[in-house]
Amino acid sequence: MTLPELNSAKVDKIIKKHKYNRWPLIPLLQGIQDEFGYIPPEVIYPVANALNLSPSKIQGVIEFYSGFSLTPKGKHVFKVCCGTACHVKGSRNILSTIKKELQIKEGETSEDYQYTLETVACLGACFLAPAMMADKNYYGRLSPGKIGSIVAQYTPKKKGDKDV
Amino acid sequence: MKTVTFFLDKQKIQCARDTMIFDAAEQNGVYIPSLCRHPDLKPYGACRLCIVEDAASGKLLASCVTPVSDRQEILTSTKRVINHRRNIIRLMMAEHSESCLVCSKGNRCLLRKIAAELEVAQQDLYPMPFVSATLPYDPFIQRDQAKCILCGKCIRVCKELVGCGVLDYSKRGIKSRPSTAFGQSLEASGCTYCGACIAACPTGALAKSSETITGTPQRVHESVCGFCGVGCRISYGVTGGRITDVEPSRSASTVNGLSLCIKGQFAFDYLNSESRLTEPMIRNDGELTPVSWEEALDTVADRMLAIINEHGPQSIGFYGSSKCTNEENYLFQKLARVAAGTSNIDNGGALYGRTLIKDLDKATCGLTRVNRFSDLDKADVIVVLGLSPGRTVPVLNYHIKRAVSNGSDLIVIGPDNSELAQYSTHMLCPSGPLSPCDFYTILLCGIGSDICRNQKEDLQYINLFTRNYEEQIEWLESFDPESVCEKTGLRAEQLKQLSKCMQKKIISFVIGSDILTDANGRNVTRAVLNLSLLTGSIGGFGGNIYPVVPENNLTGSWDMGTLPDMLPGRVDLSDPDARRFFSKVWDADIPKTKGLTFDEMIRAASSGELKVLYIMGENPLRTHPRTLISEALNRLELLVVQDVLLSETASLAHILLPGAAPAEKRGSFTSMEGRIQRFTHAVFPFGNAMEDFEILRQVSERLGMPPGLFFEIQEEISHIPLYRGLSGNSGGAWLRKPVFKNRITDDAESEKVPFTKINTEADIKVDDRFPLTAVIDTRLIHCGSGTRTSCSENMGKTPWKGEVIISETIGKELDLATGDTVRIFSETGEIKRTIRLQSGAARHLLLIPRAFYENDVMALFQLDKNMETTHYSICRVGLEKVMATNKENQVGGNK
Repeated sequence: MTLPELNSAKVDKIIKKHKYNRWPLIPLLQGIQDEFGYIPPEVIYPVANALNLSPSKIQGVIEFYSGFSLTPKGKHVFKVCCGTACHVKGSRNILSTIKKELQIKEGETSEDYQYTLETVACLGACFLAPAMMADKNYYGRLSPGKIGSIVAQYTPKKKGDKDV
Repeated sequence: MKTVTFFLDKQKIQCARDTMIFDAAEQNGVYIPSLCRHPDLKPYGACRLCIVEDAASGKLLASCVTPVSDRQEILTSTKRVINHRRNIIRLMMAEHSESCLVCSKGNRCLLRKIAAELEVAQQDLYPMPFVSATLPYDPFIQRDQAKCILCGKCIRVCKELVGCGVLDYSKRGIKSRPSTAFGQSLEASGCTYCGACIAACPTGALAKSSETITGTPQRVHESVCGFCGVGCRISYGVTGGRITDVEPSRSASTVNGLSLCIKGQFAFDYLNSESRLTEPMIRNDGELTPVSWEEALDTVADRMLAIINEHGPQSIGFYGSSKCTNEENYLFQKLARVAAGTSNIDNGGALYGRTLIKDLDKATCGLTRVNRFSDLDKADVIVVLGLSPGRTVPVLNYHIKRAVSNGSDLIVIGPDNSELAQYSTHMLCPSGPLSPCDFYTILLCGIGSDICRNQKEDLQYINLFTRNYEEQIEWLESFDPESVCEKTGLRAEQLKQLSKCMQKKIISFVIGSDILTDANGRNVTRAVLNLSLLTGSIGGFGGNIYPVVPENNLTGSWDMGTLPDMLPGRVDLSDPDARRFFSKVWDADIPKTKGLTFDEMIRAASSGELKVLYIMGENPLRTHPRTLISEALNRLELLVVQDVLLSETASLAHILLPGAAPAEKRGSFTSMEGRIQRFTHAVFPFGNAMEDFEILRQVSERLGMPPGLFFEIQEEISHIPLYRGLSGNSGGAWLRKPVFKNRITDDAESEKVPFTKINTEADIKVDDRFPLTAVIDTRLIHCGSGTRTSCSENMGKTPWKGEVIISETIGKELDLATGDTVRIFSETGEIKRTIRLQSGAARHLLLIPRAFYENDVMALFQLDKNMETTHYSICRVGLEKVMATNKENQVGGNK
């Protein structure tokens, strides 16, 4: 998979949609992130011009919220919980297993933009510790053995591959 | 206004509602420490050092962001409060790099000062890891993030005061630091190097790159900047008898506040340049050789007297400077009129629009004489005409941006106003074959006509304060929307929008320096005045007219009468009362006839009629078309040049008298606001040089005119009605505004401001050889023709090399790319330059910066046919590409 090409017509459309609203910046950035999967740094200038804000201000907002990313993310995002409960229940093993499985480190995105691996401070699912999220789904009571099958669900099927 | 009563440390205090506790305390002399607060900035509450205790609830409140409430009891220095403040400082210190020994902030560091006040000696905490991001090297501003305490002052001054917004916080939590977008260099993110962030920074996190070696200056000296017409108050840092630093002054109600500009802040190093003149010199056998002051001054006087005796006073000319002080200019014209007996005196102000500013002052009866920048936000609409003020008088630009953020509308009509584009409500470029000034005139008249058609003019104002209105209505008829649109190439609705934006509004106009020095500029200023009168803007109603003045004392040199047709105080030489007054003051006869302007002097010198020229502080070889001037100067029998630098003109002199730069002398400057500001010496004159006033004094003594002492001359000046304000002891005063007897009831027609008819016979015939229009622009790093700024090493560090800006459309037509070299030619000469294509630039216009490459752009102009004014800002040119082999022109661009 490759990155979706930056389509300035699409950016303009999103800008137009939000430009005249009150407090438009964050919804606009969310719109862009939804469209492209991340916030391409090149859009900062057109956004700044449209909203009459300085580019540094917009970058500041993007960098403040961890929900925004200036680097492209994979198609699927895995978030491994490293909160206290999960830590006690062995989240470190979970993390090292998934690192091996995806062949990327935490905070990284695979070269084919298929996966991104992140750690989070708490998913709020301590009763399921150790827990992780894949895209918008929760997986709890994990053990290193279960990781393989979870990752497999998010692997694109190639011709000749068997269903797992 | 509702007031609130509360108790501050047991003291009963009354203040306006919504006053912050901090401000109330400050007004009542109670000191509260703070690192993030600045009176010019909105309250922010970042550092929490200003905490105070509410006695009733025991709560700790950040006093800079907490308004007082009724009957509240506030304690500012209880043990608890002090303890908390100490802890805050300790935490800051734990994160601060221990580099005080080599920190350039030195004793000016606010963190250190407050730590000392709170008696925090050691923080006794584990030091935290410093944030040590390597920031891109910058030739001017050094950023050390390990010293940042996150007060946010730099971010806020950049946004609130300067309107640039280069910096903002990046990341969050402990990693949070002020940063440019993408961590780019400052220059790439649009920083103009005004230095406001350095001045605001409480610690050494922001400092001048050049300053690190000298550290804290030994002493500081309050003064006035000597570059552009804004008249910023500055504070010179002096180390070892040399100026090593310039900062904005800390005194109250200055025009600049915390900001300066790149020139004011960094170009001061010309003062210590190698080109400074240190010894008086006389030309012997073609070589300038150093002599003693006695010998130099005696020779000047003897030779001048000999020539006057032989050829009469008309054979001698004086050329004063719009950069020298009021006192020097006053003495200079007195020297010319009394000692030499000639009216052949002029100054360099004509090059920068003095003639039109003078006209405007006369036409408005002085109503726009005092135009404070801080009044800009009283106008509903600000109209900026011509070149952006941002590059000539940057501080005015900051004020415009601030006014816009306070709610004024901004209309920008000019060849390149990319800097203000972001702030403007409407923006227009002169288009079509019209010359830019004709475009502005027709457009403004069209707007005026539309306002009258819709009966949106301010009739009450017009009846009370103006005359000739009926005639105005008649001739304005010819500027109907159709014909205006046809001539200017605008669409009807564009015109409609503009007119709607100005109807029934108070308008302030900013007139760019290109208009003020163009042959058709007079029409623009008249159209501006007519529109101001139609809308009832000027004369104390909030609107004003701001002609951009790029020279520090253009106003003052005109007021002091270094003009062929005017006496001190803006009175005509032809006025017998004025002549009688000055004859009495000077105890001498004053020549009645109008003298020669500088351009006329040059013609007279070429024809051999003028034998002597005494030039003080000007460099006509660089400011005028060079070959013509040097031919003329070479024919003179005596050329005396009094200057601070070995300029092009100085190297032709027969006698060279080394003068003093503003930092090295005393006197006063009158700014474009109409503010008269006094200053004194920060350092001694360079080498064996002498203060200009002293030189003039000694010359006039030798010419037999009883010289006045400095304070006597200052006393004389303060008797001029316009300068009455100068007599006080304070450092600053304002020009006296005209007093109208009774403007509301008195119907004396002479005191009413007239509408002026405008004849536009727009010349739209385009010579095929010169299809484009060149506008001579100024770049941020140069002042005037760049005699001083090109001697500044600091200015040479900037990446700006004087590229010509061309619209992308023309670029495409001629197959040009950014970085190509082109030959630009006019009827009189040609220059070579590299170009930069810019989208959105006007199609027919080229912007050629002044002052680069020894200001050779003047080769495109001829000495003016029009004797009265000097027009070196707009001309028709042709353009052709030069093959890439010729690179010699690109070396040493800043010189």
